[in-house]
Amino acid sequence: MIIMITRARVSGCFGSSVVAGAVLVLSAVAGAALAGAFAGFLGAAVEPSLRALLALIAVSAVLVGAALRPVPWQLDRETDTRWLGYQDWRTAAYNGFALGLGFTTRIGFWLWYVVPLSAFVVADPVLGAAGYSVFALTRVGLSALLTSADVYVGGGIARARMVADPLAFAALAALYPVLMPMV
Amino acid sequence: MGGVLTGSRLRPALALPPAVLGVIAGHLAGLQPWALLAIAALVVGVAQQTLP
Repeated sequence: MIIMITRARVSGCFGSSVVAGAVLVLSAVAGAALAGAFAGFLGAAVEPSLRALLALIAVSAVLVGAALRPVPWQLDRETDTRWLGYQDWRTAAYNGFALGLGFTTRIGFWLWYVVPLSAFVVADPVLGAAGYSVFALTRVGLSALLTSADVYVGGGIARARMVADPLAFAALAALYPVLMPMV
Repeated sequence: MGGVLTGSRLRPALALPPAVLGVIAGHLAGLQPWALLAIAALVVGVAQQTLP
């Protein structure tokens, strides 16, 4: 993230790290809003009973996966390093968009799956987009803030899982009482 | 401490209490999916700061 903002600042972002950061965050929110709206739209496009059944299957699969292994199903990679070569606004924009989508890079935590799943269950493109945007704002906005303050959070993923994993189990399980009556 | 939840044998057993609490919270407190979406989005966004 630090490299991405620095490189984005070099040219094409008016020489400003603030502009580069803004492009990064706005792109992340755009990507997240699209993904959330799509999940909400998919949920709204199917009958409530089918939606509940599909969601129950997905929630159960993620719960089993989360109960068996700490590392979630994910694409184990970072954003494309070729984007660094652009040295203009595209570096920040592409990086932000990918991070906002979430699933194109490492997600790290099973809790992430609650975001698209609950956006699908909500079955409202606007609410889905809003919720997913909260993820992008927190994920990328906080990263940009920490970077601007020269704070680097290194490691600690095992400790973060101590909080995120129980919350993932609870959140996924909390969807059952919502979905079961709908099937 | 961090290894407790990574142990493959203990992990399923440790998943059960929060899952039961989640079902109770969803059933009794009427936790809505949009609230779960917002909470999960916030927490996972913060937690991902620790990603390598």
